[in-house]
Amino acid sequence: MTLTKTQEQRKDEESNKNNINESYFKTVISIIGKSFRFLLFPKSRFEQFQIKDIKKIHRKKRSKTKKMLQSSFTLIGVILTLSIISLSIFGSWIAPYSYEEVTSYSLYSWKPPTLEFPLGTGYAGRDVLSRIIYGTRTALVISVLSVSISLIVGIFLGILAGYYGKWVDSIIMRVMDIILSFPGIIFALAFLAILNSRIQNIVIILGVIGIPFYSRLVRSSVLKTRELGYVAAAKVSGANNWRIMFRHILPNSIQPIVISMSYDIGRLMIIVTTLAFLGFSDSRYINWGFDIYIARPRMWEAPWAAFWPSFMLLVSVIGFMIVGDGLRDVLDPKYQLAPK
Amino acid sequence: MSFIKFVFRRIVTIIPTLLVILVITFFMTRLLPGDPAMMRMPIRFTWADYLRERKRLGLDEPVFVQFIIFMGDMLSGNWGNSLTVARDWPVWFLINQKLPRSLEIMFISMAIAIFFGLKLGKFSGAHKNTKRDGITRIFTYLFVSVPAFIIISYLMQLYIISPLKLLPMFGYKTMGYPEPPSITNFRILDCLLSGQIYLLVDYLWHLIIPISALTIVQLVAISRQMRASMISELEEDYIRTAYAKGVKKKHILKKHAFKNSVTPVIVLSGMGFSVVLGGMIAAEVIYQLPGMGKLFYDAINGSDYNVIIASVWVFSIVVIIFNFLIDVIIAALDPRIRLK
Repeated sequence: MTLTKTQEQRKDEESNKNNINESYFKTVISIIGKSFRFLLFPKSRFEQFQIKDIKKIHRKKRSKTKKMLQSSFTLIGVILTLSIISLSIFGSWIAPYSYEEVTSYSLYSWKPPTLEFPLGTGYAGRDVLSRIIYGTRTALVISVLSVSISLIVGIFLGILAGYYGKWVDSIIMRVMDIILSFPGIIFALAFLAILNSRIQNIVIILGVIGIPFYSRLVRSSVLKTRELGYVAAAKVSGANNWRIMFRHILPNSIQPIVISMSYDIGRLMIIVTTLAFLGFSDSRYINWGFDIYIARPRMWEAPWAAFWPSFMLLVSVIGFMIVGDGLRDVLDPKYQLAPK
Repeated sequence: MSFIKFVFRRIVTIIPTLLVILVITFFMTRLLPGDPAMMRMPIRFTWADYLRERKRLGLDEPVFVQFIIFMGDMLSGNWGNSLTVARDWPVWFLINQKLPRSLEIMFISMAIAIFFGLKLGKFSGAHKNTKRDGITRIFTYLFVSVPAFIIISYLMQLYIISPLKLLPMFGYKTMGYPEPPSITNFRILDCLLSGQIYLLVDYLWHLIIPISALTIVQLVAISRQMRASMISELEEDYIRTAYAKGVKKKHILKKHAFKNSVTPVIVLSGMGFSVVLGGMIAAEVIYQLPGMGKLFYDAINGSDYNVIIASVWVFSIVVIIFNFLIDVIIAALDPRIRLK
C-alpha cells in the first residue's frame, strides 16, 4: 500500500515536471490537490509515516468501504461548510429577493412554493428562500465573531497561565473555573434582558462565556510543550518571554484549538438560534430562530416556513461538526493510530 | 480518608464561586445601563414616586453600602416580591413551587440520556469505521445539530398526525384533573405520596414529548463523547495485554475499556449541563410546563427584575451542586483524581 502511494506521488511529480511549461492551470490544480489533500482525505498524508508492520497486520481489515466511509464523511462536511460560507458572503447576489423586499410587508402570506417563491412564503409574504440565505450571514457572523473573541482572549490567558505558572496560573485558572461553573445561557439571557439584544451584545456575551474553555485547552497543551527542548534552546539563545510564548510555544500547541474551533462554531449557531427563538435577536437582522418562532404556530398549514430555517441550521451545524471530526482525524495522531 | 478530604476541599471551593456569582449579578444590575428603580415603576408614575422607589431600594446609598445590603438580602433568602409575573407574590415562593418541576424533568431526561448514550457510544466506538458505526454516526450528526426546541416543535405535530390523539398537544395535565396536595412540590413524588396514581400516569403521559426531546439532545452529545473516549481507550497497552491473555472481546469492552472511558464523558456531560438548561427553557416555554424555565422566560419578557436575579442565582446553585456531585462521584470511582 505504501509502495503504491509513493509510486503515485512519483508519477505526480514527474508529470508535474513535464507539465510546468504546458499550462499554468494544471500545475496550480495539482499543487492544491497535493497540499490540501489531507483536508479532503484524512488518511492521505499519514500513510507515509506509518510503520510497515502495523500496516501488514491491519491490511486485511481495512477494506475500501471503510476508507470511503471515512473520507466521504469529511468530503461532505467540507462541501457543506464551504457552501454555507459562500452563501453568507455572496448572499445578496444569490438570493432572489433583496433585503428590503424580504423585510417588508406584502400580501401572499404563508403561500405554498411556486416558481415565483421557490420555497414558499412566510409571515407577511416574505420569501423563505431569501430569508434563509440572509439568515446564514447573521448566524455565521455572530458565531465566528464570538468564537474569535473567546479564542483570542482564551489563548492569551491560557499561554500566560501555562508559561508563567505559580500565582499567575492559579489566579487565572481560578477565575476561569468560576466562569466555567456558571450556567452560560442563563447568564447570557439575563445579560441580554437587562441590556438589549443588539448584535454586539450577543457577540460579546457569547464570546465571554467561551473564554474559559479555550484557556484551559491552551494551558494544558502549553504545559506539555513548555518542557520540550527547543523552548530551553530559545531561552538559552536569549529570546524574551513574549517571543518564546507566541513564536515558539503557540504554534506548537494550537492543534487542539483548531479542532475545537470548528465544533464551537456549530455549537454557537445552535445557541444563537435558540436565543433568537426565545426572543433575543437583533431585529435589524434576519435570524433563523426568529423565523422558526414566527412560523411555529402555522407549522401544520405552512410547514415550509418553519422547516427550511431549521433545515439550514441542521445542514450548517452538521457541516462544521464533520469538518471538526475530519480535522481531528488529520491532526490528532493518537486518534489516527488506533487499531481498527 | 483522602476521599473525605477531597469532598471537604471541593466544598470549600464552591463558596467563593457562589460569592463571585453574587458579585457579578450585583454589577450586572447596578453598573449596566438600566435603572432598577425605573424598571420597577408601574406604567404611570410621578417623579416623586420614582425618588421614593429609589430610596426604598437603597439606590441613593453609596455603592459599597448597596453591595453589602444586596449580599445580605440574597444570602438570607430575602428576594423580594415578584413585579410582573405573579404580582406581589414572594419570589421565594414562586421558585419553591417551580424549581422541583424542572428538576424532575431534568433528572429523568438526564438519567435516560446517560444510560443509553453511554451504551450507544460504546457500541459505536467498539465497531469503529464499520457500517454499524456509520449509521450511528449519521444518527448522532443529525440530532447533535438540532436544538431541542426544533425537535419538540416537530414532536408536537404528532398530536395532529395521530388519529387517536395518542400524545397530548401541550400542558402538564388533562383539563379538569385536580392538583395533588403539595407535600414536596415534586409532582411525581406528590402523586405517589398522596396515592393518586391516575394523576401520576397522566403527568408522565404529558411529559413524554418534552422529555424525549431533551433526552435525544443529551443522548447524542454523550454518545459522541463516549465514542471518542472509547476509541482512544481501546488503543491503550493494557487492552492489548488483555487481548494477548485471551480475554473475550465482549469482556474487554465491558470491563476494561468501558469503565476507563466513562470518567471523561461524565465530566464533559457536567460541563454541557448549562447548554441543556437553554434547551429546557425553550421546551418549557413551547410545551407550557410550569417550571423554572417558563418562570425565567416570563420574567425576562416582563422585565421582572427580582425574579431574574433570583433565577440566575438559583440556576447557578443548581449547576454548581450538580457539578459538585459529578466530581464526588468521579472521585469515588477513580482514586487518581482525589490524589491530585
